[in-house]
Amino acid sequence: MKKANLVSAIIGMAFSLICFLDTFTFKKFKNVPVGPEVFPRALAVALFICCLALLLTNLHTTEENKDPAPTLSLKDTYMRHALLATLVMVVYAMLWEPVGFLIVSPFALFALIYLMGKRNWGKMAVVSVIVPIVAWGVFRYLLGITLPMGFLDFLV
Amino acid sequence: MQHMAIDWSLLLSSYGSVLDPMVVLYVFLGAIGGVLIGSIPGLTATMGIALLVPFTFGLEFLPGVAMLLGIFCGGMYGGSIAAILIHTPGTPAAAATVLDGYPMAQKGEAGRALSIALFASFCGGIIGALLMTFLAPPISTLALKFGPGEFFMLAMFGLSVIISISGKSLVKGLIMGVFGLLICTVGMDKSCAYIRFLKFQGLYDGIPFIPALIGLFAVSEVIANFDHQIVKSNVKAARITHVWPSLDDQKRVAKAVIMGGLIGAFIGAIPGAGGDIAAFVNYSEQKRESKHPELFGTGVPEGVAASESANNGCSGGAMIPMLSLGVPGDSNTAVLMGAFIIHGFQPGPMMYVEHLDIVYQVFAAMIVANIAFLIVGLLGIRLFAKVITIQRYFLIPCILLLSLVGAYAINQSMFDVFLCLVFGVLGYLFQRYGFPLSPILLALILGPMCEQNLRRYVQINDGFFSMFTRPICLIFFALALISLYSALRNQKLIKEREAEAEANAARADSDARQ
Repeated sequence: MKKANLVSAIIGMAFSLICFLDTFTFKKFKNVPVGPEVFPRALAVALFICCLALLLTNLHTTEENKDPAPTLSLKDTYMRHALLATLVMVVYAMLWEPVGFLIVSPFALFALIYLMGKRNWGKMAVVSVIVPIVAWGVFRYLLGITLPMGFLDFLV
Repeated sequence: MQHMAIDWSLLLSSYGSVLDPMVVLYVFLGAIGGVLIGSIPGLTATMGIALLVPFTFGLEFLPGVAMLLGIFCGGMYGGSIAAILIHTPGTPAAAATVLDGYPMAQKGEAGRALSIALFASFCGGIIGALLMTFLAPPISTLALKFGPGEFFMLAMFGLSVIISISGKSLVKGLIMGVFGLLICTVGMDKSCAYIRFLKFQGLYDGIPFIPALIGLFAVSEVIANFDHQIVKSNVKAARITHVWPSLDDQKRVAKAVIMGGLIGAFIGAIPGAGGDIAAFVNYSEQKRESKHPELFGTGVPEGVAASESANNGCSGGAMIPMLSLGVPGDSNTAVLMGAFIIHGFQPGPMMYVEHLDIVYQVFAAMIVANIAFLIVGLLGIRLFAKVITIQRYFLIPCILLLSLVGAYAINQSMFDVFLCLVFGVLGYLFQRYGFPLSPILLALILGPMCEQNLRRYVQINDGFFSMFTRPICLIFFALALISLYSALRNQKLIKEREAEAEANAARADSDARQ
């Protein structure tokens, strides 16, 4: 965990530095004792200090950080699954509007169930088709919210 | 002093409004969902509430919040089912239930343990909710003394509390809290009508709360479920012999249950101390007072009752700081608070002055929620014992679908869906490396209150440091420091208790093998 903590601390410090510098681009308001830049700037400094504390407390191996950190290595099959699943989610969301929720959801669900390791095709197909239809119906008729329809826009 | 007296007509009419059939129906739906979610390890009540918040938009305030309370209370009880049957607490608050619940199940007394857990959960929850109803008036008296300085310090106290209880590392909790406050400043600064940091249209009003919430607590869990092989559960559905404890058992656990309800409500009312701490405190209290402390951990009904009554009593107590101070004590109440705000009620000191009826309604709904999970538990315990073996292959992708649909529903905006995914990935990475998520959530709630009140105070009083001359401010400041200090001590205590629990469990395992 030591290395992971050091890396997290450095990322945090870089992030806080960017925020800190960005606050200087904010517009200055006259006659406003605490302008819009004060609070974010103070927080950026606070975040930097906290991350520095994390960095300093992890320079040496201790009882707290001696356990190995979980990796994000793609050599691990399941990490690859997690990344693929995330990509499926992003592509799925991107296709909602152009293609339509009802068309794209069954494919996304099928892919995700496959990535989870299930291989019972019949059951997978049934769940992938029925769940989106039920979700769409609940939102459309109980809550009055229409999910993006894409090609099926003529239905509503 | 007129505020100190209980307004009985208001109390009774508020309690009456909860008995509306629609409200009762939604509480039951919530309780069923809560028990289901609570009984599946890895799915927390927080996630359940986060997923269902969007479904309450179309509802009136009371049925909506009542359903969420049903999930909250049902989830608290549901955690015990997995704790007893498969040695894995369904929710963190059921960690102490494992100590005696699992050994009981191994001895073939799963039904007895489950029935005691149900009985204790119900009694604990009712004691907690009733106690809180009668504590409401004194709180409203104090609430009238709050100004901007007090609100600012209150927000600071709230943040110190959530930072101190979440996770194993105080520094990481602090980082998350400050990070949350910082991302709160994204978007329109309402005092000067100036857009800060990112200039996306979807962020003009700041980070949208619900998509962030669903991303952090549901999508991150979904991603986490892909990064390891799913272990096939080898749990056989346990044979449940009875669903309600015998009169002898009821008498035997009565003391542990009553103490549990009171201790749970008291500990829950301390912002930051959640159900897990309450359960462990009552467990060790009952063990200390017992004539046979050596039997605790080997499968005694008192152990199960002590833990379950305290963690359910805590649910009532935890509503006090959330409603009266606007400081949620844990991630469950933080999510509930978000739901209140979305329905147009800002919990905080003025809630007890302006909307005492709502406060009473919330506690009344909690009592109904407790009755609901009691009935659901009585009728459905055999089913819930099977739910644990449900196939996650199907469940997890369906949760993702519901998450994204929920994120979309609030503003019907695709921007929110993508934001939810971004928070999901962030939440996954944070959790993987030991950064707690609850402080971000609380910071998103308390951030605007913090900044606005600080600026208002400085504007009115021409300076910041005079805040330290105001007694209530000083009290909250001192409390914030104390909570950070006690966090260091508590973390040590919890680690010791966890080590003890693991040792006990290992002993029970080896005993069972012999």
